[in-house]
Amino acid sequence: MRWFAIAVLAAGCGNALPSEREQRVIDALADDNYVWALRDPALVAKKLVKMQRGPYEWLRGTAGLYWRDLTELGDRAATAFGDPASSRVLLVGDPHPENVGTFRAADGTMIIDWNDLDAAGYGPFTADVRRLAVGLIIAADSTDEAFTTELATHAVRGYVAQLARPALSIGLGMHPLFDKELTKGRDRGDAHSAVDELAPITDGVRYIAFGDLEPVADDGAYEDTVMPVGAEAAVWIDEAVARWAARRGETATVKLRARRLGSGVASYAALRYNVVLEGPTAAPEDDQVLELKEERDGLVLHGVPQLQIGEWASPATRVVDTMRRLQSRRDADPRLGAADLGGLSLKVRDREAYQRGLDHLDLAALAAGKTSKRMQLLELADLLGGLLASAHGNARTLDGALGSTVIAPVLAGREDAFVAELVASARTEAGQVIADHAALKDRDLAALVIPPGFR
Amino acid sequence: MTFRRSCVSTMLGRVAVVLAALANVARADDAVPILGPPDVVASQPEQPSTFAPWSPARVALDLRLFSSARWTKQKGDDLTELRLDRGEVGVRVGITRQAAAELRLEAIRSAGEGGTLGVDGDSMVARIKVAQVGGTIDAGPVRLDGALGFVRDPWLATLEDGYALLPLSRTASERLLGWPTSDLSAEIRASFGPARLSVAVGNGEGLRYPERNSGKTTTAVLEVVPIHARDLRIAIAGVGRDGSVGAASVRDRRAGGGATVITPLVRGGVEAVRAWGVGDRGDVVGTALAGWAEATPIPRLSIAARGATLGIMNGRASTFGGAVAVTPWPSPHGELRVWLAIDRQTSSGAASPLPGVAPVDATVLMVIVSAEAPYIP
Repeated sequence: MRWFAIAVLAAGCGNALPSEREQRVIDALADDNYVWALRDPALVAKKLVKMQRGPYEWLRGTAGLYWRDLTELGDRAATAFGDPASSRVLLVGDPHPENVGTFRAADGTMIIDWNDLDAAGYGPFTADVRRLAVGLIIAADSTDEAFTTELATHAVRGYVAQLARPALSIGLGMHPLFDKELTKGRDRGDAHSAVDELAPITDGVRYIAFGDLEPVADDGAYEDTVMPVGAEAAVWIDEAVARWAARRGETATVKLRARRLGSGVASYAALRYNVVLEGPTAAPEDDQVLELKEERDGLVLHGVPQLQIGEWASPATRVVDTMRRLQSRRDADPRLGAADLGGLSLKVRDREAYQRGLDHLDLAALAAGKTSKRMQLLELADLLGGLLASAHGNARTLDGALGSTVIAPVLAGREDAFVAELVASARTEAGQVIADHAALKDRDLAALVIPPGFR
Repeated sequence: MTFRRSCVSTMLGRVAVVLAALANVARADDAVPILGPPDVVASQPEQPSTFAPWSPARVALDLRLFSSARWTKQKGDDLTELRLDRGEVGVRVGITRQAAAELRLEAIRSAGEGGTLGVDGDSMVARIKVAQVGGTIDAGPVRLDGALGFVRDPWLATLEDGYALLPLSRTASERLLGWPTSDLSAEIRASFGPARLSVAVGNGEGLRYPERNSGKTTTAVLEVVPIHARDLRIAIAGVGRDGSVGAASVRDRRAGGGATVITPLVRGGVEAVRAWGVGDRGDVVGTALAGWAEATPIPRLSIAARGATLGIMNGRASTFGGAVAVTPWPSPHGELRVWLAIDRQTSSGAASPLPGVAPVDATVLMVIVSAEAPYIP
């Protein structure tokens, strides 16, 4: 017994331990992924692997950490551009370049807008602007610091300039990269390529194409895999669709259902289902496809006076409401809706190919190109800054004011100083993202993040 | 700066494990377990002994409810709401004269503050706050109490023993430092005359999580009551805590002290805690200071003041307030009070959610109804 006791006392204390920064990152990832890790640890492990691929994937997977770093106790630089009113602006929450994509509005117009409002909520407008600038710097994947600084500068200047203008709606003819995406989205959407890819027609009948629509990556993470759903899940998927349809005063007939894996980074482990709905006729050619995506709480600024409960009934209703308020058109996705089933909150959206997101590799290609390509990227940064300003400025804040009326006074006469502060802080933050990724890209994150007993 | 997980904590945890194992071997045939003090009967009317004695009661119940109407004045829109600040019910059942089991539930909103994701909507749900099996042994002049399970944190228990303003605010350790109210832990208390030493070894994760790292958190509290007379009681206490929280074993180290003075007309207390590591920030070092006082100039009417401040690096978060309380229907069975209170909240620098923006500055006006009703048949 005594020898056992001595052995127990002598053990430990010798392991290599992570730095304080690494501890914070690991703890934030553990917190943010806790519920998913208990439900599906293997999927969370794949998400962590996907995050380790590069700084941009890391940026996408650490939006929660970004907000913690910005708002939690500790030594942080004070902003000179904020006040209580402008800290309650409706934010996109994670406005990086890949959160921008194409939409086909109700009248058929193709537009570019924010497409992922999972993190949307009320907060300081400066944080959203900075996040956009950070995303552009990381996406450029360039060692040319002068250029990435210029890129961030264009984004912030685009933001400032847009505040004084009417609402911005980005359509065809405004940027070559957007034109390419808008055209692709329109053509593929018109061809029903998404529903045909998910459930091709064989002998006049649609069947789900279960399996890998894209090969599983070398690191083991799903890229685009379709899996069957069980009978129990099928029942509540149908119920969710029925509730979504009922809110719209419609009926919907679910023909096929499948679980889809591989999308997103931050929300990689979230439940995503695709359903094929009966179209206007019994013919399979006009069938439609929806996505049901699990939503969770978005941005909540802790430590400030606030009501105990948020203004939305559920995370999905938050996402739907903020999407309509932050996009340039409320009907950008005419099928957008929500369905709540007990503790499961689902956003419902059109899954047809009209909606497609930007790819950060396209931005990196522009950054690595000739002067004309680089100019295109700077113009894109201008537009994205403007799109963010338009979203902030035209949405009501938590206090009910138009965003532009609380942001503009904060910047008035100090625009250059604002640009300087935001660009400097974005550069610092981008450096932190790259450093965090470098420190943890080769670690077994699953072993650090997923609770013992679930790995 | 590189953080080293505390070997001291690890060693203390291992010492506790070994001692427990040895004690278990030594007492294999002993029918009396080493068990601890029940929380339900912790606050009783004035006792002849220095510390509350072990209760031989077969059954004890306790109900604590604080409900408030709040008006928060700030820059921008004011906020008004009704809240259930605290809703607790506890039951303690004596198993033998020396052992008892206790369960205490508290009502919490299932969604996070300001959030929407809850259990089946945003309902209030009950969660376990205390679930412990406790026991006592008299070893001559020393009384040993012990508890195992979800055990109240010994430091917060010490602070709240005599703290009269709980309906106005939680203690500074809990409110400003996020000190967990209870933890999955084992606690041993040794009382000797006017002194009591409490040592708890637990997960350190509080109520939010099960254990997420292999290190244990040890909390030691030494209380001394140099004066324990009918008209004056003075208690002083010191605390040391060492451990880790979270998947990354972020340090959770504390040292501090406090004092409470109780007279028939006036009671008050102070609290000072130095923290190394706050939340999931191992690098954050801060100091929490707090004080409170309550006077009862005429029966059924009290006036109170309190303040607490947390200094973090170049920043500070503070809350100060006062209240008038009336006891409309005095009763030997419990205490019902109505409070009219004000609470001023400020923050700056590293202690602010948004340095440079000051979004926290607010004044909260409250009408609070508090009910504390212990019941021992």
